[in-house]
Amino acid sequence: MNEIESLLIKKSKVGDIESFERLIESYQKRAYNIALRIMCNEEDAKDMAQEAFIRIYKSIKDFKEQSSFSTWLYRIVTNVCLDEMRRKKKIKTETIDTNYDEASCDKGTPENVYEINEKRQQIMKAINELNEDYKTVIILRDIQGFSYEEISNILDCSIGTVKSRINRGRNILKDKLSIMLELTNKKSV
Amino acid sequence: MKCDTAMNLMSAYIDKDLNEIDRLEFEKHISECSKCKEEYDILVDIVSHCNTCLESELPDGFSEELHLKLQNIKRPVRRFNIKWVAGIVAAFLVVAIGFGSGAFNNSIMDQSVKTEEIANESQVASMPASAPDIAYANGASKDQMKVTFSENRAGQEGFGGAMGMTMEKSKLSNRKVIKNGYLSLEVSDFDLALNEITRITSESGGFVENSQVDNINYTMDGQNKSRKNGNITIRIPANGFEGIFETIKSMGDVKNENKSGEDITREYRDIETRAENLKVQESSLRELMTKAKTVDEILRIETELNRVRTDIDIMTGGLRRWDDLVDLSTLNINLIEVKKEDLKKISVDNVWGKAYRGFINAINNVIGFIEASFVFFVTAIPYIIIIGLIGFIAFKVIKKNKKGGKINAS
Repeated sequence: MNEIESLLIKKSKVGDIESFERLIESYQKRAYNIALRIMCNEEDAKDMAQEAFIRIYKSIKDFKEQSSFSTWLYRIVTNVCLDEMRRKKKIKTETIDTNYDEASCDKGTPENVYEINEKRQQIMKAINELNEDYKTVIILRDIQGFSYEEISNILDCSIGTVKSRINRGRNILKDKLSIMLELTNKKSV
Repeated sequence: MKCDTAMNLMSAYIDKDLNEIDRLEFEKHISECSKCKEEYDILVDIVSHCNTCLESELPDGFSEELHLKLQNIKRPVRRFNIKWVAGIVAAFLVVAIGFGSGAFNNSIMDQSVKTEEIANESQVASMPASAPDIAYANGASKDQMKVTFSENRAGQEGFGGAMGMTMEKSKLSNRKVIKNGYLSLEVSDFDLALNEITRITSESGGFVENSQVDNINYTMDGQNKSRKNGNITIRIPANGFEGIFETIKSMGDVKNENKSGEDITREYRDIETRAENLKVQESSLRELMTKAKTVDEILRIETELNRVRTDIDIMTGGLRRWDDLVDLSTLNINLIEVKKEDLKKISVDNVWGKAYRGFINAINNVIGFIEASFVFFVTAIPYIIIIGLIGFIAFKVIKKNKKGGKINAS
């Protein structure tokens, strides 16, 4: 952890909002994106990300400076989102907004932009249908690009577990999507 | 390699998490087995689609909204009394007005004497009771004290570890020492002691870093009472550290004290040298930059320059932090309130104490009785003489009358 960051953490612990905002500045976007992928809905993602930051602000006093601040932050973000998802599942008011990632993915050449988006949407939908454990690791690993070690810290489980979950999750995804992908591949050939 | 094994390794292969042997075997298998190759292609396709997903921008007004929310949070300032806030504000005002006044030490002495006097008269504030008796309350406070102590220790160690680097500017002091102190005090009036500490702190140019006050309720003699227990962390200028330490010490009965100094001279010299080297490097890079011709050269120098600049920034950032720690010593104070009236009641309440007091009382009574009797006797002497005389005369007269009567009769 660098010096500036630990200085900012120290200040935030005393309640300095400005320092806290500077501290989280560089993590905000990624945190929001994690939330977006888990929640699959911009409105919820925004709420959850903010909720997570508020929780972080409140509990930063308890943050032990031995571990990395970023993993601690992402852990709270994931936990807040997962809690919310579980709560929602109970009430069953879940609405999946499948349009959210059209704007968020890169465009590509005009000819295949539709196809790429189509495919991506299918993949996102499939990820979203995974069970919670697999969904989280896939989001963290394949979309956010965290390393195995970081994921194991964020989710508070062993690297072995992370690896096997990723493996399993990807295989499920592959099975789900193979038919669709083959079709599109053939079309494009 | 079998297809099953290949399937299992596929994910690890994509993440480049395979050892050399497995990797080669996997590649070999993929080139031979068309089924696995197909599966592999699909998986790579999925993963690459995920990877290339651009991050969404934060929604408009995200930071502003968060800022508002943060400001609205009532920060969990663990049971921070409004009194303390007011006290601290008042203390700052006092400093603002009376800063630089020479009568610093005297006023402290006066204040602490006053503290003691008022403490004797102070009454227990009425609080809802929960704890069963005083023994419990005592136990609790002791435990709490220990906990605070170890926490402070841990905090200090964390502190020491965190400040990996800094630089130092002052040329006068050769040694850089971070001073830390711990005091555990029993005071008779908690509020005054706390205000006093706050005042001393701000008068010395320091500040209260953390303040936590707990109310401990207990019942004694059927009355509900409460005591206060507080942990205060103050930061004070290093040169006034000893004086303030002693002053605060004199405010109550010391249960525990501890002072420590951490010498960071060697570390900061190292960092200082490194930073200076980097600065030299930076200026030579800048020189190179002027000579650079191709874009590629410029870019490479720029990257390097950027790296050097960042390192220097990190070090100079650390500088202020470490200077801060050296200039301002940390003092942790644990205040425990002790009510005098309670002390009296519980002090000699065992059997021997009672017997002893009974015995003394008895002896006092006996002596008193003898004394009183003696005094009574001495006081009574004149009356006794008079009464005795009257009685004697009366006796004689009666005797004579009887004799006379008998003679007359015969």
